[in-house]
Amino acid sequence: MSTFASATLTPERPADEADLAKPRTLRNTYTGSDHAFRGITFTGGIIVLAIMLLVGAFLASNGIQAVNEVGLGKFLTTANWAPESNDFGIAAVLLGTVQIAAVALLVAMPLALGTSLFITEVAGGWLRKVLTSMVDLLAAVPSVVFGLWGAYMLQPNIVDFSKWISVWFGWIPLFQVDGVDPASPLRDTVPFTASTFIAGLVVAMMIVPIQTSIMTESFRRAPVGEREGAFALGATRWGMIRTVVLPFGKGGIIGGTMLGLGRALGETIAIYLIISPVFEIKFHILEKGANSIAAMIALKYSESNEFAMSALMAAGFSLFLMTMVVNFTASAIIAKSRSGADSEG
Amino acid sequence: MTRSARIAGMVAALCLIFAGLAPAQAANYIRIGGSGSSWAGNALQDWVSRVGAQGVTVDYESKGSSTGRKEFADSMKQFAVSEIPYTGDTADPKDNSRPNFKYSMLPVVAGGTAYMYNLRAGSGRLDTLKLSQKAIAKIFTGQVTKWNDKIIAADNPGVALPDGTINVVVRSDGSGATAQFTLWLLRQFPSDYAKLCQVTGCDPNSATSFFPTKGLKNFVAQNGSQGVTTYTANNLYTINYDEYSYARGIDFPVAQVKNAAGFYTLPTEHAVAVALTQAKINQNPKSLNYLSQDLTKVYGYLDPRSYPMSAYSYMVVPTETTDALNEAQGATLGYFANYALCEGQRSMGQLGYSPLPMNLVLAAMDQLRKVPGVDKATLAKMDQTAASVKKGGTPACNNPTFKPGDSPALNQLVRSAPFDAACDAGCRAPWTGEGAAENQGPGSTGANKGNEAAGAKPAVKQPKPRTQGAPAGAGGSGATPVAEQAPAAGTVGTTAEGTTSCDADTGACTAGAAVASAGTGTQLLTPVSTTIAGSNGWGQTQMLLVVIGGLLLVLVLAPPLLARELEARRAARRDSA
Repeated sequence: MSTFASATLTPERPADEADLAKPRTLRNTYTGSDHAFRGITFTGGIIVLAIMLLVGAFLASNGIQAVNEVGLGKFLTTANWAPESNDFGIAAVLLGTVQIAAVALLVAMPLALGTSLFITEVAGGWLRKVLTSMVDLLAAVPSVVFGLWGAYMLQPNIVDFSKWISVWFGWIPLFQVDGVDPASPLRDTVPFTASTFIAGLVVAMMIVPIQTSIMTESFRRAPVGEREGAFALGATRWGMIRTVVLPFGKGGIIGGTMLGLGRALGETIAIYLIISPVFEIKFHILEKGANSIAAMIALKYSESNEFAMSALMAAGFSLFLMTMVVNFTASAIIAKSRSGADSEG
Repeated sequence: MTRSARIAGMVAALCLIFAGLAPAQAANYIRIGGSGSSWAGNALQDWVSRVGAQGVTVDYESKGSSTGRKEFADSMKQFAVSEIPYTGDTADPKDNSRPNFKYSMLPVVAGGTAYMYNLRAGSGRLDTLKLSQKAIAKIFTGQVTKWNDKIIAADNPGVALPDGTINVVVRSDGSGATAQFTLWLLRQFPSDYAKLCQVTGCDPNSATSFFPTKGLKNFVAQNGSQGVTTYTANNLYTINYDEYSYARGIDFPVAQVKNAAGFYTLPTEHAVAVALTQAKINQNPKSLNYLSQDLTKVYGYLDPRSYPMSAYSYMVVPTETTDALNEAQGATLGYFANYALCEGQRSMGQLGYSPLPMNLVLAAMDQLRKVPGVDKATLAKMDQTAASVKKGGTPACNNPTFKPGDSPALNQLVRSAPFDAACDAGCRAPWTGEGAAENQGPGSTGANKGNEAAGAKPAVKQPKPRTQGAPAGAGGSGATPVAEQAPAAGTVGTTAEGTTSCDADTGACTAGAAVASAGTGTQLLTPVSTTIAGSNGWGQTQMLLVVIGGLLLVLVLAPPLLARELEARRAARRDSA
């Protein structure tokens, strides 16, 4: 076998001129504008990376004092926040942050999915353009405006809904609200205000635009050929969406959702305006009292002795790490989906 | 006309418009900013908008005293407003940010911490709630949690109080109002404060800027004065604490608080002025806390008109150039603070604050002179104020607390403060003399020799505040300070209802029917235009607004339109290719 193979190959590859078989070296000749462009993009990329690393390093170096004082284990498991008596940790605020983000995702994800499908598949012509512009505009609304809207307009109107959930589904521990007597004739709304649920709803409104635009982008890239193929096989529009658009856009859906999660975790001012901060581990999302790391930092930074500041930096660092992990995962998923691997296979 | 020429034309037109607008920015005062107390925030906003009408831009953010003090110490702002000082026994011990430059504190306004509530009784809103100080202490330490508790019912006979939970709304951010309130709890009801601290884990020996709520089920913490006020207005069965102006601004009732004499009072400008005659002002000019307040005697003052939770609020200013303040900014700060201390005091009563007495105004102005860069015009105005106080006869700043010819330590609002109808002649007698109106303050500023004797303080012994006893006659039965001297001739009568009034706009003061010389008033007062320039027609302000509106529209619409245009062009090129 081998002799036959070598015999047939020999004429094509002269053995004595082996050095000529080296791959041809490709020489890039850059023009001036190429150099400038490369320089600018390279510098930009490096600066962004450097800033991010420096922020992380700054938070870590400033926070280490506080963490050393109580130990990492205690810092991660304590629910209270009282740096002056060395009794502080991120257990409650971290959990609160995740709860608010989870509520936000549960509300925002279906909304964003529906909106983007409507934009790409149903709406046509001017309506699509208008809707796209509206979603982009929504993304430009400052978070403090969302916060004010939530605290001054949404909250007074949503408390009755909260109450309704807690009355009928209060047997589920998540929806339980302590200290409320459903039989009381008094309309006491306070136990249902300033809750994880309301904060989550407002954050949901803020992450819908980013999720929608990423999902829309990925749905638009669903290949026309496969769409038409599905229709040709007699699929309804919903059938086509289910079998072509959604599988193709899976990466976009997951990536968009997780980018939204990243924003939800870091949201500060809207939560700060709505919640009544508590430092305890609780799972009653409809009940008054919630907390998040970012809102806690905004509230407490004026209580500015050096050690308390260091503790806040440590909390900020943990948020930084969590957000980074979420965002990197999201961008990895999006990048993978962009290769088109999902549809080609 | 080519495209580029059109663009150039537009730019030129815009430049012309802006160039035309430039002179509207009056004077040469550059923009400065401050932050801090939201307790005094409404007063600051009032002054900011009034100096804004004169072309001087000052930014003020009501972020809470703690944030204000921190930003000032970190040289992020040119001034701060705070109820409590950086140091001393009234400061928050947990808060250890200190400016590393020289600064001084000047009182800017007085006010009362009011207890706004949202209650329904029967068919309508309950707006006659009365509370004793003991009840307030019990409510805000979580020991009384029902509106129909007997301690509240005792003060409200005949009122059908609801069987609802008292939802206590407190500040979540670091606040001077909280610091003053917990200080009052600590000084007046230490055992209740200790109980609060036992539950929530705070330090029972010091006041705090952050209200402790840990484990208190009926407490809600909200951010900022605006936050607690809106929350209280939106939710039934709530009560909060903050400056009176916030409740007044939205027409909500506040609790009538029982004072040491047994009368229920509201934090009106008069009641606050009466109470603050007992504020002990730090009179050591060398002290870091010169002019700071000690309110211990205010809480238990026996005057039947006194509102016990009254306090001054302070502006903190640098007295040397710092990273945040150069001389040009100092000039603006001087102008702004002088305006606040002088003309700015006139509107305070209407807002829900109480104007500063003249002796504190003068002392504060002396402090203000230390700010680097205060310009000649401002200094001259301050000199003029001091001179007119000394000279008498001319209304200095038109401050309603001051009557020309009197000692600056005499507060006219105290003299004109109305008594409760239940307070008979015997109960009123100790408080209608001259001495009763005397404000504690730097004695050196007392100018009118003739009245100095009359300014002797009444010898009031401060007994513990009485929480029981019928309102009528309670004031008279206590230690009765006797008016030292009948009022001097020439001063307005001895009756509680003084007849002197000053017109806020013209500066003319009238005593009874006689009109005081209005002409002298004008030399002191720079008339404040209350209408914006050009509001009678099309002016520069309107022009500017239209331009801003147009630019905003362009900013919003240009990117999508441009993108669409480009896309269409690209498509057209593709098609033709």
